[in-house]
Amino acid sequence: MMHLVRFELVKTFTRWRTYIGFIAFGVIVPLVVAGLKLGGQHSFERHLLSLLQNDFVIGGNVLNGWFFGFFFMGALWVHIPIVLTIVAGDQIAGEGNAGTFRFLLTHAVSRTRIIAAKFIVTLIYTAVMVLFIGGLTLGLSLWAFGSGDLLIIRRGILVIPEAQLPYLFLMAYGLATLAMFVVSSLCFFFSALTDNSIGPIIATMAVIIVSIIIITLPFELFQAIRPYLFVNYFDAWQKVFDDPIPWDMIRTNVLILVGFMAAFFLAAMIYFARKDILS
Amino acid sequence: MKSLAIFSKIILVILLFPPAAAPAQEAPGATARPDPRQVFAELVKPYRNLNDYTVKIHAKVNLPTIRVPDFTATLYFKKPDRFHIETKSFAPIPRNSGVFNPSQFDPEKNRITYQRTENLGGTRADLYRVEPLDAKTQVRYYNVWVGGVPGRILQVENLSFRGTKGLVKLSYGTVAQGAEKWLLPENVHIHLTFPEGAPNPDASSFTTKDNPVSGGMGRLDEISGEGDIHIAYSDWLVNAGLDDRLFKNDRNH
Repeated sequence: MMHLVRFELVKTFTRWRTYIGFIAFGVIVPLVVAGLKLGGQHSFERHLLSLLQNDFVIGGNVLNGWFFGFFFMGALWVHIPIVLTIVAGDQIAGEGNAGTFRFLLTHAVSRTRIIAAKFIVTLIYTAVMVLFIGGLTLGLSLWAFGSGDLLIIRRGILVIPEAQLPYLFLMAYGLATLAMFVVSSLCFFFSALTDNSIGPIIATMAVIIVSIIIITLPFELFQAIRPYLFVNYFDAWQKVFDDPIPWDMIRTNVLILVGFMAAFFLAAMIYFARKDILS
Repeated sequence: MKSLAIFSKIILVILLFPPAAAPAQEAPGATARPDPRQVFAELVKPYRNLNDYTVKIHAKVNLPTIRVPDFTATLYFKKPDRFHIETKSFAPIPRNSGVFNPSQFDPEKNRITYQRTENLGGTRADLYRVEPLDAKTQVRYYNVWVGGVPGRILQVENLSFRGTKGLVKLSYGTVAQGAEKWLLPENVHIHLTFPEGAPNPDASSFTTKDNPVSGGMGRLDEISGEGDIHIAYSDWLVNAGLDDRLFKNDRNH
């Protein structure tokens, strides 16, 4: 199995499309950080704190690296699925499209093991991508804006002491990675249904966009559907920044996300095991 | 007929000489009403030579909508009203009561009226209404209790145009620096009451905390409720000749 995983890893990481996401975020994030550094930080701060500044004078490095690390994570995770699907959508469909499946399946390896190896590689790519974006945004932000306590504005203000932040961010990135595993798993499932890797990408993004619209619109009907959509649990990473941390809710979200992931993988495996490979 | 004439004379005397009759009705031991401008000129006078100061502050914030760990900071002040705060923590300090500005109640910059005399925790204090003349001010008025020996500000209540009310209780310590001595705040306890927040018309489910697409961060639409802030001041350093550049880029100006 390890040999298969290594084989799939080499295949995946020697394709140039694997690096599209790394290049895209590698360009966007430094650009945004530079924009913030060259004045955007102050207008951002004014917009965020104008109400508070009526009654208070504010001291401290308020919009620091931790703040922007949090902000980037919140702003980018809707976009991260796009780059994940580029690789996940190609995992099975790409073999069909290239006509390499028949060759692959002539080896004495079961379809289940091949699918499992491809799935593991998809998850590894997903984790590497999320951690790359997390590391890049947080690292660059801390370098550009320095450190300090983390200011979170939701209904009121919560300030988390700096000493707790490395641990909280690690947990948050872990939960964000899990949420993105679900996206990759869905795309992987769609990839098993077709021989064209564009289809899974579009289908996955369509599901995410429709789900986001449903959970965003405050209609009663949509709110009733909300718990059944995996997108509803994408904010699990934000919950570690609550006070007190709602561990029960986080545990439930983790179980639901793992459940979605397992369901998509099993569906892909069952479908692929019965699939008639013609190319 | 004769009694009617006597009664008319009494009424005439009362009408013609009321100011003379009034002091006779005051309680024994009562003093004349103080001149507000003079009182505040006396309060400001010892600080005429205070050009700048540096002080360390340690603050505890207990506000339901602003949950901030205790913080320490260094506060720099330079005449007439420039200040700068240095700290790594997030440090919200009440604008009208947490930063000591000796010329805040300068009679030249405020309309001051005497209200009444009260007993403030066992100390006799005169209460004045102070209305800033500066059109840019965010404070509608201050109620200032002046008392003690030497005369000092014991308590201040301020009401901002936005409706935020602050009740500030001060205690002082003497700071000796060379030959000079200054009476400066040692502890300040501020009770803040924020106005009832009106629903923000811009607020939508998109920006609410529990929406996964909100990005985890909303906009500060209102601060409501009430709570306390305690600030302890220490390590005063007066007239160190602070550089103007220190205040140049402060976000609070």
